[in-house]
Amino acid sequence: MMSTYADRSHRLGVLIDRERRTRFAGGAIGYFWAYLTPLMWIAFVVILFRILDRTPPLFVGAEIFVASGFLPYLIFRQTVTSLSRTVPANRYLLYVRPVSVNDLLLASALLEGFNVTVTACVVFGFITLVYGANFPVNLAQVVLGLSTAWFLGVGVGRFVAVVGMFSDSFARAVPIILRPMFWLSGIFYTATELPAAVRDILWYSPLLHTTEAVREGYFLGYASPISNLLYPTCIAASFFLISIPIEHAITRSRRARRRL
Amino acid sequence: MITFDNVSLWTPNTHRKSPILLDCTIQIAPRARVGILAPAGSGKSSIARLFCGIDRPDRGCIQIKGRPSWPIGFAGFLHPELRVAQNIATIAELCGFPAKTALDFIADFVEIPNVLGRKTENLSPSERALVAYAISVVIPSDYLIADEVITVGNPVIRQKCEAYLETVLRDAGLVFMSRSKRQLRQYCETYFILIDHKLKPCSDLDAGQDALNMAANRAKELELSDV
Repeated sequence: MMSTYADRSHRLGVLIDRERRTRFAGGAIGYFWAYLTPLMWIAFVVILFRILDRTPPLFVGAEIFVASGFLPYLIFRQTVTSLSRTVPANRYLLYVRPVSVNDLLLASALLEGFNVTVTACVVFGFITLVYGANFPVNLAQVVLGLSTAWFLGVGVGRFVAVVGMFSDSFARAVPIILRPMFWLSGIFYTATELPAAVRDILWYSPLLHTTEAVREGYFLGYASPISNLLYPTCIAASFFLISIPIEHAITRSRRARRRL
Repeated sequence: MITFDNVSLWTPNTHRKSPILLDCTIQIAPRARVGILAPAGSGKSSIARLFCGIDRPDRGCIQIKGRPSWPIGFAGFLHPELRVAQNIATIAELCGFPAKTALDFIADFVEIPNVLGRKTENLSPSERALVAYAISVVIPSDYLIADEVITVGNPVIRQKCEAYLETVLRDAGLVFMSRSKRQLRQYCETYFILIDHKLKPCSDLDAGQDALNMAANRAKELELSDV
């Protein structure tokens, strides 16, 4: 053997760097889009809040209320999108023998984890500095809630990416299937203000649990009736684990719709 | 050593699979220069990916001791929005090869002014092919795998490619799949033909080509009789 392959951690570092350079390549703003997009989204939702003359159900500013609800959704959605795009976009890197589908997915998940951490710091920092929002009462719970949203995105995203390798219809249907999550994740409301019957149904939305956990950790005195992080963690782990044999079967039988 | 043990490979369609290789057993020794004569559409690229270790067979087992290249000249992983230097550094680092060595070699080899600083999408097709060729030969491999492409560019560049290839092949083996007897003779020492979904040893490429032509005619006649 003339030389060895790069070890896995180095390989992941190279893949992350490539993904970072290529995802927003071409424009003048480049990678800042990764952080600009969520800020614009939050600004848009806050404006919508004001136009609708809606006041937050908690005694906090509209900006921090929207941000604490929107960030878990954004983290989840952005991670799913990122993972589902990385395999078709980087499939030819599989010609470089040590690189595997798993490497591509892991690199994308880690990069997205870094992106959303920066985004969360920028968003909460900006709102605290500009609008004078209070610091979270339980920072650890906020971090745990946001991390769970990321893990949920990783689990679901991996499943979507793997099944999308095989089925074009599934890949196209996913954005439509996930769209209701925007309304089911508690961006505009808290679980406490929902009627009991509606709350019982929305209990099944894993994102609502993460949003409620983040708000519970952020706002003094807010106790949510549904903020069980074990539930979204189990959902994420289930999707993650199911995707492994599916990936193996599709790769093994060379059934990916975009051929190498 | 590359060992195919009862390897079978079918086209990856869900329905109406057709065979590419059936129960094929061969061994390719280190530093051997093996040519495979195969007609167009017979599945050369699929078999090349097996030799590269990119795909796995549907049946049987492949053992690759050592490091095969990807198909020489493959350019699919060069991202158009990245600069040539960034693309090369990425591929070199993924292979565990020093990026600087690869960059220095390629800048010298391709002789395109300021090639490393240019965006890949701004290269002409021939420049892009040359860069892809250079990266595939500069990364050390124990086996070079060639799928029809073994040199690129104009006659002057081709001579340069040939000379460099000879240097590389002092320490590495070659598996070259081609339709061209002339090219196979130029680079290879032992030969196989891909006929009836088998890789059969062949000492005379002219006889091998005749056998392939006869097989093609037979297949046409069968098709006509089915109609």
